[in-house]
Amino acid sequence: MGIRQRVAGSYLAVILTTVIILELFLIVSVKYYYLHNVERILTNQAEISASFFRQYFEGRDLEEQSGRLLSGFSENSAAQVQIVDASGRLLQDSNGLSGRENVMAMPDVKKAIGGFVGTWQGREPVTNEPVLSVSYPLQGSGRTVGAVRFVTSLTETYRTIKQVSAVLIAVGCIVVAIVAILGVFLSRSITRSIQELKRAAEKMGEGDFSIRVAKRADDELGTLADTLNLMAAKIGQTEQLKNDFISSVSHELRTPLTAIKGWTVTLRTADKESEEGLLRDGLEIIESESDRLARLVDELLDFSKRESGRIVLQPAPVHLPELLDRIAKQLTPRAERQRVSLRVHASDALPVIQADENRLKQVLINLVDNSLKFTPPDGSIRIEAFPDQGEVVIAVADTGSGIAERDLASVFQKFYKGEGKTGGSGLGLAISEQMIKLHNGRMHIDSELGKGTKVWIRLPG
Amino acid sequence: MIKRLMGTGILVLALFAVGGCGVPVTPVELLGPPAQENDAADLTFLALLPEGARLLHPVRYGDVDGDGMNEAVIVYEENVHSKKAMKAALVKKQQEAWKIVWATNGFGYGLDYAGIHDTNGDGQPEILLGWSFGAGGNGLDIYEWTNQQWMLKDTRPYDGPLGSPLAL
Repeated sequence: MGIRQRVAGSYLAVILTTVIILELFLIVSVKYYYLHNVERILTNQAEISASFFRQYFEGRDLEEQSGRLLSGFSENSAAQVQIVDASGRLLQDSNGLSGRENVMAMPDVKKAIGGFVGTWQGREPVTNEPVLSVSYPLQGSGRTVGAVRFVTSLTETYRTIKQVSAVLIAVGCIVVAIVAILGVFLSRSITRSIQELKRAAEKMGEGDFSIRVAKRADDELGTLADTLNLMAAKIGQTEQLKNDFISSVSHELRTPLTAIKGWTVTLRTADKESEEGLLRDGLEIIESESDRLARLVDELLDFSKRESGRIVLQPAPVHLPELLDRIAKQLTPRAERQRVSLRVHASDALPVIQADENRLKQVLINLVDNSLKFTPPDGSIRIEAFPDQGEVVIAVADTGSGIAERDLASVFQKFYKGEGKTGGSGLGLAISEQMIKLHNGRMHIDSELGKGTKVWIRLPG
Repeated sequence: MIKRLMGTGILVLALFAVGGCGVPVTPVELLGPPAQENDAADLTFLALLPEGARLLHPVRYGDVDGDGMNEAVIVYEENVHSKKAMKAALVKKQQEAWKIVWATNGFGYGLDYAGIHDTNGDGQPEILLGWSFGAGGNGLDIYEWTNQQWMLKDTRPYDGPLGSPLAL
């Protein structure tokens, strides 16, 4: 069942219950009102008649006076008036004595003869008409000498009750109808918002994240709309990032591949008389470009591992001076090619630290690689390492183009590549920082635009 | 939450109590003449009666206790709880204020006759009240001052208007 039907249905249920309860109460009250008043009027008349008899006629013979009494009693009453003697025998009847009535069997008459007020409501035995009768004892000389009985037909009463009830029910139905229609309109405002949200969510499920939902009210539905919009925006952003990343990575991968391909073709098609130097240069470049490719792929793998939280360090004792020398040796050819000097200064007092050597190597190569990217020819790169207050400090300083102060905070972000669209995935620093953090260390950059950059790494000793 | 429910419940019960839980009477019984402009004497007597009472005329004056000052016999219709009752009272002026010194119940549907007369010739006036019972006739109550109080001495039915009371 749609939400519209549910909301409208609940309105209907509420008003229906209310109206039914009120109707029941009203109809029962109306019936009670009429019957109660009929009985009361009759009782009143009977009481007046009986007290009059007692006051002025008590010493006299009832049968003898009954005619006169009847005219007195019945003049003020529209009901049928009967007078019975002490045995229940009918003496007078305002409807006329036909000789066939048997009132002494009536429960109210029996009670009155016994000295108490009797009331009876039921059907007249002969005509089956609904009637109400009240019998009052006629007392004289300290005993009950007979009774006066007032009988009224309830046909008209019941008919009136039915009429009133019909009107009440009809009004009730009209009220329910009006409120039901009102409920349908009222529920629209809620269900419309929900339907909009539903449509938007469906569109997003199909992949369209550009859709936005209008916020109609400042309630829970409004909050839901806001959240949905936010989610769509975030997903859209992520999609964008992903696409950018893919195209960037593809480009990065292609560059070394092109170089490798190019040089292999060159070497293959070179004739036998080519210099040895060409051979050596070419193979060297192929090797370093392959390394670069491998590094890129590693970075990507690390990135995905990091996103799924799977990087695990394998600490072992590391001799920093040896490590730094190895790294320098590996990167010196490239540095020479770029005419940038690369030097290592490792203090003798460096302690042996617990670290994952491969990861440290990865970080340092990344830093030197960055420096090589941004340092012009005739510049220099200097790798330092020394102990400091229980920590080990490694610093990579270059005389490169530097980083603007406002960009300094962003360099560690994923995919950030800074000015000048140079190669790389943009993940290097982000991964490096992560590695250092896993070692419980810290990484920090000092830089000045146009002068150079110094990257500090602090590791626990 | 509970407190609010209880508060509402008490309010509803109070409404019932104030409104009265009784069944309303039929429209016919709600008919009644509007309040008349009463003359001074009537107003005085009305002030002695309960709320909603209607003074029936005539008011009879007579000296019933022989103090030289007239007392008054008033007959009125009480309307308490929509139950109409006929009553009669003897009012006496004590220290500049009228006070009801004796009251009795009435019968029938109305007053046919009220009077203060010495019917038995003993020098002490009796109070006569004739109650009307429609076509069924009337009934006469005769109250006599006996043993320092008003006692019902005689009741008898009669037809038609009472002529001279001494003709009883």
